Amino acid sequence: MPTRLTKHRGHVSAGHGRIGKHRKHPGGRGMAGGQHHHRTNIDKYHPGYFGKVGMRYFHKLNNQFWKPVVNLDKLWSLVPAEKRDEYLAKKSDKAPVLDMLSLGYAKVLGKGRLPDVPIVVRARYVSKEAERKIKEAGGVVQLVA
Amino acid sequence: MAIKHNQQIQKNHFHKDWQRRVRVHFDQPGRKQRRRNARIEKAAKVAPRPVDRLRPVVRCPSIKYNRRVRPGRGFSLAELKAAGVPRKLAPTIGIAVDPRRQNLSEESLKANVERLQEYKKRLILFPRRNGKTKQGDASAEDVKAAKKGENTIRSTSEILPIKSVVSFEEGPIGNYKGEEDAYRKLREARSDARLVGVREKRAKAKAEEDATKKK
Repeated sequence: MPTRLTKHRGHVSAGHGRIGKHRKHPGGRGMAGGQHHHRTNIDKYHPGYFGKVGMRYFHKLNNQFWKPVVNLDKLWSLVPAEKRDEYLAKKSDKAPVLDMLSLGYAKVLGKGRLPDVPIVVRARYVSKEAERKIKEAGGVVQLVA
Repeated sequence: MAIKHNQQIQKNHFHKDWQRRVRVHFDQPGRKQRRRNARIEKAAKVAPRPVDRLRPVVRCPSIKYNRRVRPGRGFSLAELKAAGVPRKLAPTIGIAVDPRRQNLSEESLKANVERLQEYKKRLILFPRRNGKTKQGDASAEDVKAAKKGENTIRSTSEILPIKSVVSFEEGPIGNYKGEEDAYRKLREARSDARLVGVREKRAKAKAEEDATKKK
């Protein structure tokens, strides 16, 4: 027998107390009592652990919320690269037409600047700012279904 | 352990049993070979016919995908009629038929009729009995050439592909008429859609009120 135990012979509770006793899991295992006797700890150190947030939405079809956006600063990068400089240098009297839907975008937003070159933007949605900037550059906004 | 002190809440993932879900693809090269062989075998079996049937151009459903087109199951009866292909004959000459499909737009009807006509132009139809050429059958020289394997193709989708193309166009800015106030139009459309029921109710109430007043 190791001395660790031999030395404790005769000492009834071996240092673990007579009243509380050395039991296996006095508070419960795992997260037991998170909402009851351990509530204080959970509320204090892990706020928001219990409960839900938000509203339920039955049968949510995500396809109908499909609306990828593109900002104005990206707009000219959608014009084919070999043609882009020609337009930007104002060599041709033609304007490019960007059909946003076929390019995979639904809405045009107004971040960034547009060069002062006319452009035709065909999209399902435009923001107020985007529309203003496109028109200031001499462009045209077309709405499609 | 019970919950003590400010520590991270444990998330012990004990019941993983990962070996149950593992899939290996050791048969990938073999499977590729098998598919390839099957394709070649089928092509040889059906030759000089193409391996696939002619499919219609169909627009994908839902807001998300309706910018694309894809091959559909079969041509509708209206399309076959417009193209002048008898509906009983169509499946025998490599045209897929779907009697349930409806044509909701003129554009789709037109596109598919054109597709059928294009197909008919290229079709080399062998006479059912040797030497007895009926109406609609190919000429003797064509049949001879096709039997030798000339001018034939492996699949119809190669010569009449269905693709959503990103076309790019350009033109003088004056040619394009834009919305006067696109943003406002969008907002108004939105509000109109939201107020459908409210306005209906209001109109009804007003009509009732007028009716009671008259009495």
